[in-house]
Amino acid sequence: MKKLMIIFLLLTTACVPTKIVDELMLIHATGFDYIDEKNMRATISVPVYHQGSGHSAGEQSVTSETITGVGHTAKDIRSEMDSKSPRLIENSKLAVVLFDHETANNGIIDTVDTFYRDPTVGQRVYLTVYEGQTRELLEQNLSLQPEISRYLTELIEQNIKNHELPKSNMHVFLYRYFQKGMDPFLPYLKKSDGQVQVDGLAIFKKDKMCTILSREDSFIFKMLVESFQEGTFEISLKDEEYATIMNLSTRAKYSLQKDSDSPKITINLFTKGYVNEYSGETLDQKKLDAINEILEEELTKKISTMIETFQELNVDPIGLGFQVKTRTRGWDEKEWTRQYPDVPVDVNVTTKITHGGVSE
Amino acid sequence: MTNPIPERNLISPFLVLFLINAMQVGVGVLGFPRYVAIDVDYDGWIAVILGGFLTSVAIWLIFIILRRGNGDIIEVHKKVYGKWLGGFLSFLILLYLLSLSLVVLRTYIEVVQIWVFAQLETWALSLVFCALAYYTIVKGFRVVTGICFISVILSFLTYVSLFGPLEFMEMRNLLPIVDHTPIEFLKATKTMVLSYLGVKMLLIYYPFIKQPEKALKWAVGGNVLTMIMYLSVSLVAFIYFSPDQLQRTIWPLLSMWQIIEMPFLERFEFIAIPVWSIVVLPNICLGLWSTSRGFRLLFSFNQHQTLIVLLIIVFCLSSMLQTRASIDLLNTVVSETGFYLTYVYLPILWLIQTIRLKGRST
Repeated sequence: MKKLMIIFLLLTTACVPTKIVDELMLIHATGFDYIDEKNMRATISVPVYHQGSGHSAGEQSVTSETITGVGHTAKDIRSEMDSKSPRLIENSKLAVVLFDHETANNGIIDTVDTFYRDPTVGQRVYLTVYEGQTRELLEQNLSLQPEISRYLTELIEQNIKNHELPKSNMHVFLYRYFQKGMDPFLPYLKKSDGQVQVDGLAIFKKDKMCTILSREDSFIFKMLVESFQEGTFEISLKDEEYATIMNLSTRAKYSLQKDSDSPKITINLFTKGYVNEYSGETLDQKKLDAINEILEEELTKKISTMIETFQELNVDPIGLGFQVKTRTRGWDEKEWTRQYPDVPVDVNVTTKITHGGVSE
Repeated sequence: MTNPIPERNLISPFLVLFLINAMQVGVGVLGFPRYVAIDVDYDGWIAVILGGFLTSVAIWLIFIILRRGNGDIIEVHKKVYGKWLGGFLSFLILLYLLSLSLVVLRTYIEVVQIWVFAQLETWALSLVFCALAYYTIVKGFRVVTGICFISVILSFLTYVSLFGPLEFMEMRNLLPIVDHTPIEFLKATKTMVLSYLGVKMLLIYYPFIKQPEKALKWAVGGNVLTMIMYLSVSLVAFIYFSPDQLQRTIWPLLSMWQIIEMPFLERFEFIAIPVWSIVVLPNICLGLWSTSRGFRLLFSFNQHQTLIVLLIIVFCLSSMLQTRASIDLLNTVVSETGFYLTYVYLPILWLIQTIRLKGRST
């Protein structure tokens, strides 16, 4: 019996072609550029490992190389790329997918769907919109981190964790795309002085980009869509004074009033933080109270304006529709789409400034 | 009983918990959240509980029927319908049990082909499984039970894996609760019951339980354990996916595993899918064991030779099914059959058995 098992094992080990890491081209980043209505150009970035020389022998440095292809479907482009590549191209290490401005304006769901369909691609892939040609970006070797996809991943990761970007990856994009009463968003990147910079959020209507939020606005937007702990926010006070609020933790609560036939939404935003930087002279309790008041006012104003803009554009990235849907029995999507641009939204901001730092 | 089973081949009543649970949790758990959500969206978890309850009732019914008949289903059929009709019905049930093995085997291979090895030939993996099943079954029912035990322990890995997707949860997805009509709930419960169907092997292995009277609570316990797993998986799937996204995801559990990332392991599903082979193995083994045992009792065949013939049949059929559509069709046909067998045929059998017994005693 044992002999039989061994024979079976030997017989079945070689049934699948092997893939050896050294013999593959592992795509780390892909960029899509718009050419015309039918065609797009894809650029893939693969890492190149250099054997170190001289004093650091054995140590490897990594840069990246690109291959481009033009076609009207991802498959099409892929076969062109295959013909240019010395080794087999593999998707399994893909970390970043970039779309140029034009592609994002024309809809990206078909491309995203190919990645979602492919089981070798993880769900944590970062999808981003880049202001310029993604090909140019991917062809660069930036000084801070020569391997471009690594650079972009770390950039986005860092900004999600500490700054104005809300949680974002392929799963979040698709979740929002398919969720009723909600529209997706993606990080928007731009180039600045040989570096890449997060420049806010690209807001999508279904799968087409329709507006871009500035960095400050995307921070406020982040307050509305998720709770977080470590934000930083700068406000200008009167007399050319500035204060920076640190460790800002926020929580947004939505409620719905349905007395008449049209719903009314109230957003209650609670924030808490301490003043870390202040350009004025003394920072006493009175001043803190004043800062608190201005912060509340400013946030309320900005949130209301942002929501008005969204309603004018008829996009709902905050997910107000979703909030209404989960509070309504027998929610009617069509009815809501009709109501959305005119739905009254009340914004109440409560901020609490705990202290003014360690010096007084 | 015609020839009582020797003491050394019997199993303790509490092991029934593992037999029931191992048979229910298989490839189904990878995909069921999508199906429950078709009719009632994210009220599906209620259907999961209702389905678990209905299955407990079915287990209780099976115990009643078998206790009265004092033996397995073949014995009961013989007593109730006589040799020929009873034998024919038993034969149909055996065919169904065999098809269960086939469905599980082929569906699992499909998962491997799509997620891990795209170029893997169906027959290759099928051959490995058949060899493994042969190796297990030939050593008797106690070894099959042992495999079930290991499989249940390994399936607990699912609970650990469910913490990953929670990073992206949205609890509001579950609201508003109970936003559907009773008819929709009935439909969803029927769909859900299909995922619990593994209990019917009990019809064959019942005489192998040492004190069958004591086993009922363990059998129900195994079923409750399955229900807890289904409930956890479906709830996490519901708060992780948006409804339309879930409908586009063939294996929600596997897609949820894709989000798990560990410093030493970039892709969790590459570990979890091979581990799952041990979780599905008892499904294949129990099905084949029950069928071969049944054929032995029915036609006095040699169980060992029957097993080899059955393995060849399963191997050939699994290699012949190639497309997603055909696998889906097979799944639907087998689970529908299982549904009517459990919730229509068994109550009828119970009724006829009651009438016969009454008639005999008066």
